[in-house]
Amino acid sequence: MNDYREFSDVELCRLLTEGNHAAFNEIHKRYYSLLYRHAYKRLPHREEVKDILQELFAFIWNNRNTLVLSSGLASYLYVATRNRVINVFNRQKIRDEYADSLQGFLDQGENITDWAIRVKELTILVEKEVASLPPQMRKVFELSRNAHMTYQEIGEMLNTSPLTVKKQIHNTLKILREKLGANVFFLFF
Amino acid sequence: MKNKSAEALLFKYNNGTASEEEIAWVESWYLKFEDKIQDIDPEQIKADELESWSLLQLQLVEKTPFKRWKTIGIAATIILVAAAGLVFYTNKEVKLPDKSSRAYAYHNDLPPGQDKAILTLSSGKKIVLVKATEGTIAEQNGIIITKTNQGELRYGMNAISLDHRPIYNTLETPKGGQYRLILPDGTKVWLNAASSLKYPVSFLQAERTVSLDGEAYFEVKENKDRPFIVHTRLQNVEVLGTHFNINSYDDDPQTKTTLLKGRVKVSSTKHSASKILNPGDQAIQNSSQLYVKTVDAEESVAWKNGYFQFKDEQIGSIMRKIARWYDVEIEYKKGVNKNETFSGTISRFDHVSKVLEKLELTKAVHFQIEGRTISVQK
Repeated sequence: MNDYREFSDVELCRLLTEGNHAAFNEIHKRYYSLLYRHAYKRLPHREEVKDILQELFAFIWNNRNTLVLSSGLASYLYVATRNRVINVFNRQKIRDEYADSLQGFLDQGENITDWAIRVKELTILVEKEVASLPPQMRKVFELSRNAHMTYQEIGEMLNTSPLTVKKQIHNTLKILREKLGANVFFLFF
Repeated sequence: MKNKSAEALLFKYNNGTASEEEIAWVESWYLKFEDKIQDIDPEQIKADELESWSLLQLQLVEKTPFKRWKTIGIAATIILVAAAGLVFYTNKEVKLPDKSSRAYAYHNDLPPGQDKAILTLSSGKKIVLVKATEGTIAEQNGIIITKTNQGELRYGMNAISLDHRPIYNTLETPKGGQYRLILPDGTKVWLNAASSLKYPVSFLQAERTVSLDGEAYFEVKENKDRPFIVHTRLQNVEVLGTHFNINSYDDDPQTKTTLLKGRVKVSSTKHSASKILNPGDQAIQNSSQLYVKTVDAEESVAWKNGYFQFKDEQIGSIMRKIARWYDVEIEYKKGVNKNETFSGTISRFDHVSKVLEKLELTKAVHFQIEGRTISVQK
């Protein structure tokens, strides 16, 4: 059987459009806890966070044929999660505390006008855990995630074999999963 | 202006009326937004992740279409004998098929089914059970439902309930799924693919009654005072304590109950006939009659032991089993002799190509896999 953990995001997305359940499962496993942590730290309401992610993943599955992931799966998920989190901020009940914070920022802060830079910063924010990885591993991971290149392409760029790249991604994901505290779950799959 | 402008900005951002600059403000603020929480309990994330995938899986499972096939004719022409338990033999010389064409026909190989099912509680709540499901699954009216280390679903009494109205749960396997269950009275049930069993969560009535669609093997806990009754579309099976298998799929023309141990009474739901079975007996109900024949009972429960076992079985019946277990559709090309029968035993835990290759060794049939469809060719 194929080990979907070794597939790059690009490959998973291709399989997703074909309606492959296992690929969708791998995407869910790869990103759920990462997105959860990010969202929960900004919106510490368990049910809200669960709902946000449920809607997001259901949306991806239901729209797998028409989804355009021009900037890659990771960016898509981070941006979609952020937008949904901000959307919840806007609800009457919890608006006040967030509005205060935004107001403070409006009064003192500076905005980043370039959309692409904001997405990049968002990526760094979500993937904080990735920053502590060994440099080569991080490079491979970032190229796969954020430049959405295939293993073949990354191998060519870094002058290593696609197999090595594959292995490094595999190890990286393993380390990340341990950091994210979800390793027990992954072992069972 | 104070909080007003921030609120207005959030509102505009969310309904899509914010200008580029306003969007930049909100999104930049979001980046600088302090973490409100330092650490999250990993157990919480794990639990929510599991639940999330369960719910998603339900969406995937619900969209799997079930297809029905026409009844297939009778008569056997070629009889092939199984040897060594794993290979199909024929009296013709066995030639390995051309590798290159095989590689093409099987370029889209499919993995076998696995332990998965959907549990529907009496409240209508659905819980998807997969390999990773662990521990307590639900608690209802003093009954605790857990998944054991051996991967079976177990019902246990938590408190004595004085409420005698039966509460029903349903365990349902999709195509490509199977599951094991221990009922509150200790009866063990193995549920095969594309099957469903409806049962009360506590057996407080005079009779222990369950309903089955599809196939299941039962090891009924003996209780002389409370007969155990299984309702199916064409047969009702009444037992005291015994081991037996019921095969009652909608797309199969017959319902078969095979007894391995003890004694059961099988009644037709179509007419008043009933038969008492002894071990090794199989009660078959077709559209018009109920009759008993002596069979190799082990063959009927091969599925629960991890095998496909066929004895003089027609291709249509074999392919229905493959369709249920590998979650595929079957298509017959012109010229396939549906009356040919096959015998043999093969593991259910190989990829589908392994099973098909064994059947192809007989040279009587050939297969091609395209997506989730297997076409049967001459």
